[in-house]
Amino acid sequence: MSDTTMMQAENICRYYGKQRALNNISFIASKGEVTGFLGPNGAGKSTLMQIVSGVLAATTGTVSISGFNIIKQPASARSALGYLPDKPPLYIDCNIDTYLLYCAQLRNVPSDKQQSQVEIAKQVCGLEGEGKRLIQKLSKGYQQRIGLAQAIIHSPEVLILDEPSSGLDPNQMVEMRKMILELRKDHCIIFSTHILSEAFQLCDRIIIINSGEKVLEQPISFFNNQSALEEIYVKETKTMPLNNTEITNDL
Amino acid sequence: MISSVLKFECGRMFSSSSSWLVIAAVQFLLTLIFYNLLSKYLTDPALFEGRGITDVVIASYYRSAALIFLLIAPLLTMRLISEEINSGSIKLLLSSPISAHQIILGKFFAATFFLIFLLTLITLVPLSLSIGTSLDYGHLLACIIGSSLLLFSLCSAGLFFSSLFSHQSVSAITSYTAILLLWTAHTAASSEGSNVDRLFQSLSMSNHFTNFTEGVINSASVSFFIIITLLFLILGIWKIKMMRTMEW
Repeated sequence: MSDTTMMQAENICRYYGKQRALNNISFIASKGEVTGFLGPNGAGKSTLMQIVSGVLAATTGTVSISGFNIIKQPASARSALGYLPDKPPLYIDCNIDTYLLYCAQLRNVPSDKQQSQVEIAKQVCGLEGEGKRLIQKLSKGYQQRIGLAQAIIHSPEVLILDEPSSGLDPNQMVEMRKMILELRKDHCIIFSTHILSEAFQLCDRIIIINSGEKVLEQPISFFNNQSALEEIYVKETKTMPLNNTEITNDL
Repeated sequence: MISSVLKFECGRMFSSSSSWLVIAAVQFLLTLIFYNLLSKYLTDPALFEGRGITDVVIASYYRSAALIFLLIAPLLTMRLISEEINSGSIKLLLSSPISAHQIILGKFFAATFFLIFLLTLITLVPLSLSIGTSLDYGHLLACIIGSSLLLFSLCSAGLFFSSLFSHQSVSAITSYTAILLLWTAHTAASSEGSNVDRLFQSLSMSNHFTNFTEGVINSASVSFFIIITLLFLILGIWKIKMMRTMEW
């Protein structure tokens, strides 16, 4: 693992009963880099995001965050990561400040820094002056911003974003992309999407997964333009046989 | 970390209007029950064969309170984890450096804090009798300890069933079923006195609670409630740990 390697996933497999959701996925993500996971719906992107964020355990394989194994050293590994699931994990009956303060406490931010970290996260996500507003009264775009704010509240080294712009209108999508580009300077960002234009604009490296398998991993320079990415994406996600119902004898 | 979860959950409970509505309704209902018990006692004390006011009025009052606790505890605890599973906010907890036992204990203490607050309020009603008469404070204390232990058991059971389901109503129904089975376990015992009958008698929450309302702090009854509480807490911790290996 080099000095800049922030996340290392090795041979990740995940089964739901006998159904295989992920098969032997390995990758490395470094600081200052945006790694995008592309794939059709049901490809296993969200499962992979949950595994690398410690929400779900892999059936086999290991995940290290900042050198800490997420199963053997869960507290250290989880302190170094921020996770925005596909649906922001909000308590809608709270106001923004109360929610973010709770997130800071959960992420082990020292008590004397909690308030300042809340202010910084709000500033980065464009939530200044909104702290007293109830989350349930806010639009989907604002709720997504709060979701992003909770993920960066403890200045994690690794930021995992699961379809961060899903359900947003075009203006909100542009805003969200700007925020991600801003955050890439200080974080190692891993995000999943099925929007090819978004992946092309944001990523330094693209990993395409289909039916739980990694089918391609290339730097963004590999794709001359967005059309080339589209062409390769369509080719790679069509050629793989569906293996969602594959029953293996390994277990 | 436990204190963070405790403070946050307490804040949510005490800022909810429905919680205060529950407190007001319980207080109203129990005050009415208390008034009826007291009126009956004062109208014809001879009926009670010289038993004291604590023995007659206060013990019955806490027995009624226990039945109300059986009804409201699952309603209060059903949302503690079910709501998090349903809304997806559980992923915040599972991706944070907080352990399963910290999550469960934080939520358990929050629920018990709320119900102990309610117990404190309803204890003020019988305490008001001390202005006009002398009370058996030992007996009153036994009632309070019994009620507290009952609340601990109800909260831990409710919390465990809340961790099993994403729908709050299902959590509440299963919680009611388990609690009522425990409460009425003695009814399954026949009068023959066999080992099985004794087992049913000793599993009855109602039997153990009655000991306290009769003014007896029995170590077997204290242990019973502590074991039930610990059992469901351990099961809840196990369930949170299992969430990482299950499908969402």
